[in-house]
Amino acid sequence: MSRTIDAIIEEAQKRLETSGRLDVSAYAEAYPQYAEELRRLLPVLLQVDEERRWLEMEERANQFAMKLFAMPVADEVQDEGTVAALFRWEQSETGMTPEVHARKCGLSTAVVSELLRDPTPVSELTPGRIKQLATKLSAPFDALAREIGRLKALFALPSTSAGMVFTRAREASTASEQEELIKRVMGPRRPGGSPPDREK
Amino acid sequence: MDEWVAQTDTLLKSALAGNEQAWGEFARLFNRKARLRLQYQFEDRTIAEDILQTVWMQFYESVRTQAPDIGWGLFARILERRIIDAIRKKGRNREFAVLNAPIPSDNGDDEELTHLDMAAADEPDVAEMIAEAEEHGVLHRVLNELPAHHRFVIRARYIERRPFKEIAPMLVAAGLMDETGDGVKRAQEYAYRALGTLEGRLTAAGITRGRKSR
Repeated sequence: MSRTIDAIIEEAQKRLETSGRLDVSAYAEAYPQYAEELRRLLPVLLQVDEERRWLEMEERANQFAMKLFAMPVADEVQDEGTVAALFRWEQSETGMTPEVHARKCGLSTAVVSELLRDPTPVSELTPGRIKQLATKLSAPFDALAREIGRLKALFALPSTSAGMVFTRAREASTASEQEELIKRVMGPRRPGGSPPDREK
Repeated sequence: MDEWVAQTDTLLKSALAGNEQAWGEFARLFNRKARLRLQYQFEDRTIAEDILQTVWMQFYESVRTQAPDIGWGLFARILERRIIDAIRKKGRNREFAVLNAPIPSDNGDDEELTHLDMAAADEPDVAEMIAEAEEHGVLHRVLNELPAHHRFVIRARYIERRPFKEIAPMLVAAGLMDETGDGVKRAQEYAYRALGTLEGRLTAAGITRGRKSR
């Protein structure tokens, strides 16, 4: 029994999904009895697939905007150190090596090593500046922004509280619990905090 | 149009007061318009995404620190400037050469103005830009105007990529297909007919079958 046109179109769609490619002419030649219709309809599959990809891009842009909203605004966290001091402080508090730190925050060891030397003042870390830093270091913006946001939030706490947060966040919490924890501890700096020394 | 601008301004004010849901809605509305504009200008989604990220960062910083009262107008201006930057960076030589050609001056002025300078200097007309973006989103518009059962099956199968065995009970549950016969087979036939309808409407809207293969 010959195949129906709807079954052929479904086969073409499955091929497009698995390979990302669709050769309209090859299908038209393989099924000459439907050639004209396939030449008319298969390009529509490609157009709709292109629309699907743009919709995915749009959804990622929505997520990006939401992450911006969740990020601490630079002037809400009053700190005096540099990026290098921030990352060194985190490692000295937790005893993590750069390799472990990199693995936990989703950055490469090379990027964390660069951050340990970066002189950018923390007070200037606007989203735009973080983006520049991510581009300069070839680091994923999301991971870098998330880690800087987390460290800035911890930075604003007294050292003992921060240590407790580190312990919970690193050893016991799930990612969503960590985010919740960070959200809870965000806010104005408490008296008696001990920020890292400004880089000389 | 004015109503749309007023609605987004309200959303922005609510978002800046800390309403995350309002910010999400605001982002969704703006990203839809910006996406259509970028899709018209660039075929490359990576470039478009990069531009959108930059626009969001600049916009977010600006409304938080300097211009909390400006909504879509500011976003549109930043977007247009980033698009011009991207055209320059991409080195679309032919287009750039045309845009960058000096405009002949009647009065013999020494200072040369180019089309690109003029485009960058112009403040984008917000209403015009939105209308233009909508106009370019033909496929999006035509999809939305399809009959409900065709729209449903196109979205479910070709955009969300669900299998027909999943789509068939959804069509029944939505009241778009009755339960008689082989549901999977009938859903597949719906999809075939829906593609035919879509093709006809795209052709009527002036969209020809440009893309032959990929």
